[in-house]
Amino acid sequence: MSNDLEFTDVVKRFGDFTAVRDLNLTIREGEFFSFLGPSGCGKTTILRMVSGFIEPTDGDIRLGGRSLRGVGPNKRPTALIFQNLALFPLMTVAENITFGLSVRGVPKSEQAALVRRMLDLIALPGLAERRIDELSGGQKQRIAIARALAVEPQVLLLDEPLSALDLKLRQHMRAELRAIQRRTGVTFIYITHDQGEALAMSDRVAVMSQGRIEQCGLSAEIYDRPTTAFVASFVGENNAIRARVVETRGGEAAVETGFGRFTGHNPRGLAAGDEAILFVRPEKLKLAADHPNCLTARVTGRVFEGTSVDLHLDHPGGRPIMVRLPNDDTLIDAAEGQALSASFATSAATILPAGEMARD
Amino acid sequence: MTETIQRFGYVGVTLVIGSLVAWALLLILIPHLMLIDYALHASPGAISRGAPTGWTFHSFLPLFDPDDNQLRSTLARTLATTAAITLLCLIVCYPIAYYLAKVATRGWLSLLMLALLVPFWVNEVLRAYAWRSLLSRNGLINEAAAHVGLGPFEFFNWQIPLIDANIALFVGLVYAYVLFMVFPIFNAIESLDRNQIEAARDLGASWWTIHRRIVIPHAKPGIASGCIVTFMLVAGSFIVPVLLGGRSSFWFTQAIESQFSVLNWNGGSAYALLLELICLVFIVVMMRVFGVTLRDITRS
Repeated sequence: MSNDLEFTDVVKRFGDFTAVRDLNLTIREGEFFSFLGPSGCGKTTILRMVSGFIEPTDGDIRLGGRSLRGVGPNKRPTALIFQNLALFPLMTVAENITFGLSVRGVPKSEQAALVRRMLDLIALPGLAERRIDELSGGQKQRIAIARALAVEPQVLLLDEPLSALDLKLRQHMRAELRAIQRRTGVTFIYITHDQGEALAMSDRVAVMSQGRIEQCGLSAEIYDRPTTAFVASFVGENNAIRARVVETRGGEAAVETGFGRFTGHNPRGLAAGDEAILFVRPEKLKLAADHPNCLTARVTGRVFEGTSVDLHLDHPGGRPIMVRLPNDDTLIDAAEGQALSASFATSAATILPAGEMARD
Repeated sequence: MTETIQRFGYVGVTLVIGSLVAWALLLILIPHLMLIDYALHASPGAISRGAPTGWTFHSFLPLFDPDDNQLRSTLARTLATTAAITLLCLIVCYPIAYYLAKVATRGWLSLLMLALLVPFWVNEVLRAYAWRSLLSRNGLINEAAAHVGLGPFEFFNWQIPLIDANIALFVGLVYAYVLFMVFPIFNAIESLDRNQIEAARDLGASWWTIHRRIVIPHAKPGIASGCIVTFMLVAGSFIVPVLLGGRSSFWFTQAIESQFSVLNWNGGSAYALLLELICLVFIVVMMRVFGVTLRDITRS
């Protein structure tokens, strides 16, 4: 039987506060799975329930078909990497890595072999006798991964471990984590509020809000086919335009907005007359009037981002419409106050029910 | 320095430094020099019986009297009992300190802290008397025990094997100095990141292993300083042994006091100096055993 991690009707309440509600989900063995959401959305609670530090109020968590209820954190085949890593400062690197084995009474000779294997895995050979405070941030990160993997967990849980690193190192560690996951085949469950991290590393992502999974799917699905306004606005940059559905046709709908009449796809099956929000990504807007979905507005700002340039267009009653232009030879010089037309394909626009927006 | 003078002015700086110097001089240095001076002279009575008038170890001689073992055995018993009480204090206080530092909720913590402190608002003498009335042959505990057909318990006569001290003294001294053990350990454990404990647990450690390999190594400076302070206070305590010591537990401080009470200041000073030197050796040994520096200890 494979070691899938199954959540069945899992609920966690703290007093009157419900941190996680009706969680039903299966994380497959060997998957890199991320929970993505703002702080307080319940993702840390899920992690602590899997690692065993707290028990669900209701429902069950099973690993390989076996319920984890009543199994203490020290008896579970899971390992947790803490946000602050929690390496043991009074021990050497080798003692940190072998901690999990030595408490299980594994002989010293085997421990030494494991230290070598782990340091090779994380590409830091020769650091075994170093003290923890002599390591750099990136090295500590890898030692924490090695310490957790040393106990050969079936599930590795990661609690935003990259958040303390600077940008370059963080991007490097993303690739590193992904590679380690592939090499070991261990199920990784990653929690983060950084959507870039989640989308780049994961096989699947669950976007959470207020204790509930809003949407769960492949990174590309989450980004290109959001099913709730929360997901559309929380994951990546998105333009939100207030709209009212006027007509539906198959999987598409036509809406009336302050900029005119647009068409987009209608994943939630909204009916004519419904209040909606039309979402279109900044990079899907083209400075051309060659599509019926075309809006015209004045430029209110221009932000140079390096690989791209963001133009802000006036959006009465909403946040400015953002158009992301690649920084190449097609880049035009748009002055503030100048009126521009931008268009987008029907397939690039998503029409979702209003009233489910992310607060930020 | 110039910056400090600019901030507080010459008067302020002189006041602060002056009071520090006065404190060190009047309360530490001069009394000690006097103590050493007294200890290294023979008493006037001894001089009249032919002892040397200059500097001499004459006042220490009773400790080495081959015919009279009593003083030496008092010292040995005091030190052994003190060591045992220190150990017992540590065993009692470590769980309390851990509970306060890592388990108790905020509201509970302040309540428990208060509960620990309140008894110490009462004078030490009164507390010792309170234990007397609890533990004596006709005391509260024995009366209660008699109701259920038990006792009487001879708390004042029951000797603890090996160290020849009675139970009442043991209870009284442990109680008198718990706080000095609890607080250094509490401070040390409180500074331990809770994630360290959870990480160890997550990696499969039992509670015992977590304490042995994570909490105790982290709390070592606090444990060392708690043990040092408790040892010195117990070895130097006077009123509790007087009131709770019973017939056989004569404390070394009582031996010191008996010298002063017969106006033999030189003998009393000699014994006091000896006790102080032994305590100093104890500190050094403890620091070696725990592998901590003076800086570690003062920090906790």
